[in-house]
Order: sequence, then C-alpha cells, then structure tokens
Amino acid sequence: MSEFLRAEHLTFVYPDENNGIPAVSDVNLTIQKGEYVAILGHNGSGKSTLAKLFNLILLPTGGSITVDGIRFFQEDDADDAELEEKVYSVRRRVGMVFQNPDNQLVASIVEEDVAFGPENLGLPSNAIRERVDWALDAVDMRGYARRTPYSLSGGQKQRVAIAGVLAMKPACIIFDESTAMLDPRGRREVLSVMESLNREGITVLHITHYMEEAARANRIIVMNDGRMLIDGPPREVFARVDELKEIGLEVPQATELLFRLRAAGFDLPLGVTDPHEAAELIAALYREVCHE
Amino acid sequence: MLKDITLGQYLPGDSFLYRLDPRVKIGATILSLVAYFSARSLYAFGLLTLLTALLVFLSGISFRVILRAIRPVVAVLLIMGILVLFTTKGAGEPYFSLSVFSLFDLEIYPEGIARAVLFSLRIVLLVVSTCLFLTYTTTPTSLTDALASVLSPLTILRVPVYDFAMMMTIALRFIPTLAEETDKIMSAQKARGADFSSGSLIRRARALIPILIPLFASSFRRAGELATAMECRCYRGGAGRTKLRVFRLRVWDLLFLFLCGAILASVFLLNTWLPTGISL
Repeated sequence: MSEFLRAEHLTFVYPDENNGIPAVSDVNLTIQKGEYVAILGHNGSGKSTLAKLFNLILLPTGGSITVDGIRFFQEDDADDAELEEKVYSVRRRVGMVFQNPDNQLVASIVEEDVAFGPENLGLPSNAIRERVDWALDAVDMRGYARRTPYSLSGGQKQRVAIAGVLAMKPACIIFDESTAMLDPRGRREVLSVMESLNREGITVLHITHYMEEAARANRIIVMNDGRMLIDGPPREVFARVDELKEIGLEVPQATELLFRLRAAGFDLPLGVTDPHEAAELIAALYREVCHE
Repeated sequence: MLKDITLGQYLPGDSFLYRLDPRVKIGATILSLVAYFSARSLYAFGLLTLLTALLVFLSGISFRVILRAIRPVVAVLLIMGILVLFTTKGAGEPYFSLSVFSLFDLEIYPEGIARAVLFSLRIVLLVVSTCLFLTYTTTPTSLTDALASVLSPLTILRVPVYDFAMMMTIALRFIPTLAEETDKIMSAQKARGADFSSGSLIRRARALIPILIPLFASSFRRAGELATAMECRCYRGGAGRTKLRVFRLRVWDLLFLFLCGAILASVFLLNTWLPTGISL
C-alpha cells in the first residue's frame, strides 16, 4: 500500500468563533491508499472539520495536509491561480457525501445530477455519459436514471449522491454522517455501497457516531476536543472502553456486554465488536464454568 | 400534488413536437407571437387559426388539456373584450347606443365587434401555441438549458447566462422539497394550536408568519449545505462547464423553423395583398 493522505500538525481555527479555540489542533496522521477508516467523536469533537480539511473545503490555518502528493500549507507562497488549481485537484481526488441527501442534489433528474461533477470538470459530453452510466451502475441505480430524486427513498437519494461523487472518479470518498438521516434499510444500502467501493480500491473515510458502523472499518480514529485521541484497529480501540466512556462515547453493544461481564469477574477479552463472536465467547466460558 | 410542481405542466408523450430541439421551440414561439400580433388581414387570421388547430391535432395532446390551458385567461379576455367593444368608434352608424346619465355614451359599432373577437382570438391562439411548444412538450430542465444556449452570445457582454441557468435549475429542484417542508411546518404549527383558516384576511396573513420564519431559516441552512456540496464537486461557476446533453440541430428542426418563418412571411404578404375593410 502507498500513502494517500498525510496530515502534519494540522490545525484549524474558525475565524470569529469559539474565541480562537481551534476546532482541529495538531493532528498528525497518514492514511494509506485503499484503507477503510471510521472517524468517531461526539458533536463538536472536530471530526467534520477534519474531514473538510481533507478535501480543502476548509483551508488549514496551521500545519500541512498532503493529498496524493499535493501538499497544502498556510505559508505556501504560490500565487492565487496556482493555489486554486491545487484546491481543485485535491477536490477531484477526495469526494464527499453529506448527511442530508436533499441538500446535495443539484438537478431535478437523477442522471443530470450525477453529471454535475463531470460537467464541472469540463469533460466532453460522451465521456460524461460514460461516467454517469458507470457511476449509476456502481450504486445500482441505473434503472432510475430519468426519475426525479423527489420520488426516491432516502437510501436511494443517498446512493444517487454517492454516484454524483463517484462520477468524478475520486481516489477517496469521505462519508460525513451519510447514514445519520436514513432508516435502517437506507443505512444498510449505503453501507453496502460504501464497502463495495472500498473493495474496488477506493479509500473510504466514514465519519459516524454509530459504533456498530464504525466497527466495520479496518481502522478507527477517535477525535475529542479537536485532537486525535485514539488511532488503531477496531479491536484495539474498543478495548479502551474506559477512555471512550470518559469522552462521552458509547461502545458497540457486544463490546459493552463483555466489558460488564469482565467487570463482574469473568475472564473475557475486550474489544470484541461482533455479536456472534461475543456469543461464542460467552458460550465457551459458560461450558467451562459448568464443567468445573 | 407536489410531484406535479416538479415537472411543471409537462405532459409525457411522444409526438413530433416532443422531438423538436427545445431551442427551435423557443424560436417558433417567438415567431408565432410576432405572427399573431402582426396579422391585419382576416385571411391571415384564418390561416393562423387553421395552422394552430393543425398543430394541436399533430401534437397528440387532448383537446381537454388545451381547454384547461385557456380557462385561466377567460376572465381577462371577457373584461378586455368588453373594453375593446365599447371603446372602438366606427365610421358608420352604431348598432347600439346608450347614454349613461348623459355623462358618456355606450356605443357598439360593427368595427368594435370585429376588434373584440379578433383580440380574443389572438390571445387564445397565443396561449395555445405557447403551451404546446414550451410547457406541455418540454421539460423545465431542457427549457432552462435551451434558454441558456440561446442566450449564450450574451456571455460576451459579461452577462452570467450559465449562472442564471444554474440558479433556475436549482430553484426547480428545490420547489418540491420546500413545498414538502412547508407542509411539515404547517402541521407542526397546527399541532401547537395555530389556526390558518379563520379570521379576517389580515389575521390569516399574520398566521403565516410562524410558517415563513422557520421556512426561511431552513432554506438558508439548505443553501449553505448545497453550496458546500457543489464546491466538493468542483463547481467553480459557469465558465468551463460542459453539458451531459448537447443540443444538436437536425434537418427536421431547421425545416420546422424555416416553415415558421415562411408562415410569418405569408402573414405579412396577406396583410399587404388581401387587406380587409376593418381597421384592426
């Protein structure tokens, strides 16, 4: 794997807000190509701000961000035109899907909305057509190409929004709480699209406050008060139940159960997130106890 | 009901009118407008009425729908028609004369009748052909794109034509969303005891304030989020954008436009060669 994104002492202060307290402060991390990372944190922890720095919707006020070899830092002395080119070449590499599908669809016909990104890139019309069809196929919405988004369900609208981002052929897609407004079915649809895109080699960053969703990623980053608190695979992260609870985060239910059993004196591992695995462990322990 | 707003008055169908380039339809609408208003000869009127009827027949749109299009203008036509009828002074004897309190005379001349009828006919023809060309057979999106394409030469004068087109597209996209939101807010306010349907006009207007304020607040929030989402998808204004659908003029489109031009020319010829007695 090769490096895709690198943040060095990344800091961001919203102008005229919070008395100059940084929303993101001194974050250092690297993300490899093709990774599936979940970013956790309660409201105001800086997780959404961090995501907006990754595709330069917000420009860092301190430190630097490097995306696919393109480095951006505050003291950069490149002229405006050069900077703008930098920003747009980062944005076409890092797409972003937001929470409310209604507020990110631009056109009143599905395929025209998906075409919006490629149209902005100035591609010729036959290339746009190709990308639109490909992107709609990738999210399994080709049959709805001529429909109006208004007639679709939340999950379907969100898939159209994903297709719109996908049509720009980004290397990485950030999902900023993209499942938060959906019903369970819509959430499953979006998660499965997310994971199939990751299998195709797209780097996926999933910002969420659903622990069960975060547990599906290969790596979890926990943000608190603008700082990166924990960074590691789900098992390691969820093993630190005390720390997570201290900053007001829940853990997956299976993890919570094992945590409480362990506190009651049973010898069970921490960090297990899969309910089936947890059930197996408890069953095994039960058999052991019965034999004694 | 809400879904109707999204597509405007567009009626899905498949006749030659649907297949015409929307830019040609805009051109045809303008040409027909000029033709209706420059017609001076009764023969020209006859020709235009006949051709418009033929257009209705070929469009495949039912007569009932056409009547529905005319209905909203009937009241205006009646009032204007009556005004024209009584204000036209003819050369000969009036058919009818009535002195009102000896202040002014109500008189009807044969010229007045002719003018009133032709005036109404003009408006009816205009409404029918505009509906046929632009609203019934063209989707709002392709109409917006076509307008942008027709007006694109104005970009030389730094008129942001494509940005206006983008604004139109977004407005059309958000009409059903905001309509739905209005419904929700109304229900929420009703649940809190708001009353929108009784009291004087002023009272009812004031009852709308608790709907409009949350609606505006949420529209601004939506606008902000949409702008961010558009920036994420590399939107940087109209310049340098390409389109998924490119309009291409085919032979049939040019032929149709030529036909419209020929009709306009024949209206002018009929005005000159076969003038009728009435001054219109």
